[in-house]
Amino acid sequence: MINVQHYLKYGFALVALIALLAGAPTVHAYVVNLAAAPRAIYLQVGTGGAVTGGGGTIQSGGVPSNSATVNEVSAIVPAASVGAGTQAMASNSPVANSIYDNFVFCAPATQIYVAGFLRSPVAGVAGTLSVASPANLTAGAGLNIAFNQISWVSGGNGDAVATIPSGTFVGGTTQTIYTANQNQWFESCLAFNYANTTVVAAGTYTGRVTYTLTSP
Amino acid sequence: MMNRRTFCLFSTLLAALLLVPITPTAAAPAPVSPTIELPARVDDTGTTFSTPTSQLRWRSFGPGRDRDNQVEASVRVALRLNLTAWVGKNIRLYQRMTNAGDSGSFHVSWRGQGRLLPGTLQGGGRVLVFEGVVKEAFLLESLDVNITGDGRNVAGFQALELYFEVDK
Repeated sequence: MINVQHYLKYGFALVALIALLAGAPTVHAYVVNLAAAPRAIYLQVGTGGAVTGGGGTIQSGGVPSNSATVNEVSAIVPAASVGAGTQAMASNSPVANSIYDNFVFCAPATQIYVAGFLRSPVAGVAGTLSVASPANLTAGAGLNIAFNQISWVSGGNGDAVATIPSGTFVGGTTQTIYTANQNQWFESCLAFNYANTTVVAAGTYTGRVTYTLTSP
Repeated sequence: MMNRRTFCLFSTLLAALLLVPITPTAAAPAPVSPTIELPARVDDTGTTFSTPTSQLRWRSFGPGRDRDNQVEASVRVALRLNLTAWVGKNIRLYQRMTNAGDSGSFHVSWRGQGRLLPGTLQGGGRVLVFEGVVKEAFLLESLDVNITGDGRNVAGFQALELYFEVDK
């Protein structure tokens, strides 16, 4: 047998339960999970691979391919001019147009086209464009020209201020020549010069520099 | 003073009175109409996605000469909204996105099959997607959802939380 007190208890218990459920509604939502955009990095120095798709430019969605070409810059110094001051160097790179939008940007007879970008989803990340050069250009045993005799002037059609600064090879080390913003296209045209301040023996002096774009 | 039989009868009546508001019966004089506090989130249990995680991609392979941090992603959402509580009623249904984490930098736009209005919203905002009389208990809709935002704000994973609410 149930007395009033028990009924009251059941009644309050039931009311309390309903109140509890009403006070804690289920929270509904649908969640779209996003994974970070991929990292990417690209550097072109001189002749690059073909840009395929998207109309043939980066701006129109094209994608550049790899290139194994190593371009040359050179200067022929007449005997009478050895040690007599700056000699402009010629380039064998045929690249005149920006691969970003096909804009006529460089003078291929004298300039080397340098371009690239860094894609990163991490805020504040930058790319480092560096160049490694040996201590000397050499023409055989004991025949050297210090690499710091080679410098470059940076430019590009329409650029009031060149993106990659002008500079001089340090020689025997890797030097940073430009810090690239993430998610921003960069490009410049580099024209090289031989300082020609020392008298050296006749010969063909060569040396290779390597440009690298890195990102943490 | 009540005898034992009278007491039991009284206690039964009292209990019945106490229970009427929470256990309405057919004999009750008027049905209890539940009131729902607005805005009320809509139960979307059963909603599914074309992919559990959407890969953000850069808007273009290479960035422009000006910084281009924009990323985008897309996902198809098979919505199942439980509108049982509003059948026969005139309602306004909104889609809302919470402002958790870095979601505020993302824009979400969607287009459905005609049951819900297309729209765009940002973290913390809401957009009207339906206004009218609810005819069926469950609203089924397929949404093509596109997400755009600043790719620098998602180094790992980002969750965008969206929900529907009925409001005035």
